[in-house]
Amino acid sequence: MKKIKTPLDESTIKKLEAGDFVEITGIIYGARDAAHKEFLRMIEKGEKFPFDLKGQIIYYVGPTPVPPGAIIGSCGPTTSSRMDKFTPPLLQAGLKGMIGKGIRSEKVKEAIVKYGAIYFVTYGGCGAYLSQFVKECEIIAFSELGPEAVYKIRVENFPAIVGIDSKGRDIYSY
Amino acid sequence: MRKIGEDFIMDKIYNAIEKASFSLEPEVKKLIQDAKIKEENPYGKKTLEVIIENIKIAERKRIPLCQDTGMVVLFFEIGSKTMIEFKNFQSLQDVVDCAVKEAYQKLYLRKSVVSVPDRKNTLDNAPAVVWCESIPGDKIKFSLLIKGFGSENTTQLKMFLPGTEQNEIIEFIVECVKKAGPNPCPPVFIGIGMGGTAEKAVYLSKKALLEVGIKKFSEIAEFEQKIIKKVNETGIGPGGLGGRFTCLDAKVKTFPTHIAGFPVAVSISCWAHRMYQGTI
Repeated sequence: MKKIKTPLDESTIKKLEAGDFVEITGIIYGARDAAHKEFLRMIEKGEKFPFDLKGQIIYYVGPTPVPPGAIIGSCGPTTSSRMDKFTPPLLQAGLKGMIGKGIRSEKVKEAIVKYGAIYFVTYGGCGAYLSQFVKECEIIAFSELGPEAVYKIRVENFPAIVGIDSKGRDIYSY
Repeated sequence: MRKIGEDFIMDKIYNAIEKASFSLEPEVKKLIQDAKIKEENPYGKKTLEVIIENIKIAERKRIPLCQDTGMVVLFFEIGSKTMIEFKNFQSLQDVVDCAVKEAYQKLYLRKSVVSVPDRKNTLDNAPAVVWCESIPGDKIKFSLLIKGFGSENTTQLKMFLPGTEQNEIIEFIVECVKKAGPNPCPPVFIGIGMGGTAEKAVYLSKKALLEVGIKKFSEIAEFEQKIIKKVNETGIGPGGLGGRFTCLDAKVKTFPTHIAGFPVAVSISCWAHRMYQGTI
């Protein structure tokens, strides 16, 4: 088990290998399909981003609504491949990590290697379990998108596995 | 004629959604637990352990099993000697949609349904997909599926030729599961519809998913066992991270078809197979 902190730095990323179990502590940003579409538009138009991308991790998640007294709802990973076409420009803009589930395209893999980034996978369908590692959560952009808004999430020891490491090795290559 | 009130149906549907969103049926849970004991791959085993922990937390703390609280699918089998008394609603679709709206709001479930083609969230998770069949008798049977789209997006239909051999069908099913890979959150449940017309085959594949965990003793049961064995030989494993258990069960439903064709549909459900069956 390797413990890592966000934002990610180069030395941390380099030490991680596909298949490593990790626990992530710090701020991660929740965003999925609709938010990614907006991100791309913002990059293309040179608009100010809702958060500083440098070294950050985006978690592909659209949580359930928060009941009174809870921090977050159920919050497991969604299928990453739907974000494939948006990922290389985000990595170019400074993003260093993604958390999701499932296979990534060759283009994403190439971009991960090129920009020294990393892709984590976590447990699909385990939104109740994963919510237990969330300590704070707030919507910071596109609140009108509901579950597809951008969430700033503080996690402690959030469990994941390295899916694609900075050398392009892929846990799913069976 | 047995008269059935619309409120009574609405309550039943509401309760079914509540039950399925926070807990799994005993048969489903048992298949997952058995797999955890037998799985040898460390990633596969860890995934199954987390899944079991997730189920416990969801039940105990009343957190939805998965953040994708799905699109609601309801299959009704309406007894010919029943009569639904509509007062406030126009149709069974309206009754179901009202139950869906209330459940998704009150239970803090994610509203994931959008209009087509403009993709605006309907903000209440309605409408549900409602199917009705007519059966003899004075009861209404209903089956609920809460369908997440990680698995729904992997559905496939193929129009085979009449001379197709059984092993070609199995190959097609295995390819579907391989192509889906980790996306539908394995270990999965597989529903297979064979025969009818194209849409009937897909419909049957969904209904087959409702038979998960039920033991059958027939020719089709042998076929199902072969499918399970072949799918599990892929080694995709829990979470797609490797292991013996890629699927936990496969069920086949058939219907006569045309001399010129052989439609086969494959529907996949994630391990969080949220279903509920009841009688009204």
